[in-house]
Amino acid sequence: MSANWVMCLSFLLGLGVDIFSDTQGMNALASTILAASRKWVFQLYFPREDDLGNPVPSMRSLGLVVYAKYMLTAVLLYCIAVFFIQAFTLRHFEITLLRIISSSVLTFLMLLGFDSIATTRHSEKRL
Amino acid sequence: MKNLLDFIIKHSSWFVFLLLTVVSCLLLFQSNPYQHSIYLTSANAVSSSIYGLFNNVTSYFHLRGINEDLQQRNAMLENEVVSLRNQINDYKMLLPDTSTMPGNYSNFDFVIAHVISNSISQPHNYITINRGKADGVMPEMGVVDQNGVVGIVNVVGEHSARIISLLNPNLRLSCKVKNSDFFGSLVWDCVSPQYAVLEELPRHVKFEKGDTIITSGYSAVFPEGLIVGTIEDRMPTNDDNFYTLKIKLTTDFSRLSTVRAIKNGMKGELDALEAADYNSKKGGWN
Repeated sequence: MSANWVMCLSFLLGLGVDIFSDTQGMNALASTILAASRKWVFQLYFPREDDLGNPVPSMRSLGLVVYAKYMLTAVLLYCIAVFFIQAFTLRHFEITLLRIISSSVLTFLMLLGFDSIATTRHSEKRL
Repeated sequence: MKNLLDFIIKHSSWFVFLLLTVVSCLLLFQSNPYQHSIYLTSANAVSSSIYGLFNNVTSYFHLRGINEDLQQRNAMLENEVVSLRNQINDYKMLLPDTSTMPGNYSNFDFVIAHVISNSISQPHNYITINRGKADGVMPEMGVVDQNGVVGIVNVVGEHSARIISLLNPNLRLSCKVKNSDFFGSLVWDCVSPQYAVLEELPRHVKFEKGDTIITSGYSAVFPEGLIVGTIEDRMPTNDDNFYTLKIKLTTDFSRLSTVRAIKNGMKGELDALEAADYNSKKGGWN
């Protein structure tokens, strides 16, 4: 999917979360930031794939370790964005930091769990 | 022109990102409560109906504790009613020509509502209830429950409403120490959901730890005398002329279930008075 559509989709998803939780614009902004930095995070962890354009990150195409590193970075980025926008001050910095770390760990574990359920064994290709 | 279009198309993702960021920031920084569209908060029909469904199931799990709470409160109130009746009878004997005493509460009426969404751990907390415009809930109505003050209604939908919780630094409540007339401003300091801070209390006030803090009645939102909390401690403050006190809140925000929204019959008149005074002041500066 092209980057623009990914950004619009993530903005709408963030907006949906905001509507239900009375936090206006917070999750929308954080997910837009995440979508925009997605390409940059790809380049950080993946081998240089100039001919593939926009690769789909999943455990199948990347292997567990690289995927886990990518997901941890993305989750950390999102949590930092959300909690800093929510606090909007550096006053109770330790509480904000604690929230970021605990949320990231929990989200990372849950996403890892969800993705390993969705992975089917027969798609292991041999090159 | 073609070069401009080519430039825009080449860097289109930056423009999209900029546009979406601007839209989110607009939503984030609209702090005027009257502008909050009711579609974008949990007071809209879809999210409030989903919260209502969840609440139908989960509220059963808290019923035992709430019932015990209510019974205790009922017993206390009945005792108070009995002692007040005795007092009135004593006064009637002393002053036989006192006909009826004017009631503070004759102007106030209640709408009972259930809490369907609540939060206590965010920096700004809001509560959603399942009564809306169709049930008589209007913006800026005060909300209490059986233990104390809960908040003020902010956005109202057709069948649901959003309340700014007392656990929200945007809400400042005018309070006073019981049995005195010294008033201060109660605000939440984002540290614990059980404690808030009473500021701007004059330094010559005598108080003890454990004194009750009640609403002062200085606003059209809450009547006078509603219990808010008790004094826990004095906090160190930079201001030499005013105290800052730590208040233990009597409302248990982690167990809110049934609340009452207060309809004030005098509010329209008081608001019109304030508006007329403001307009005349504006005209007087010319």
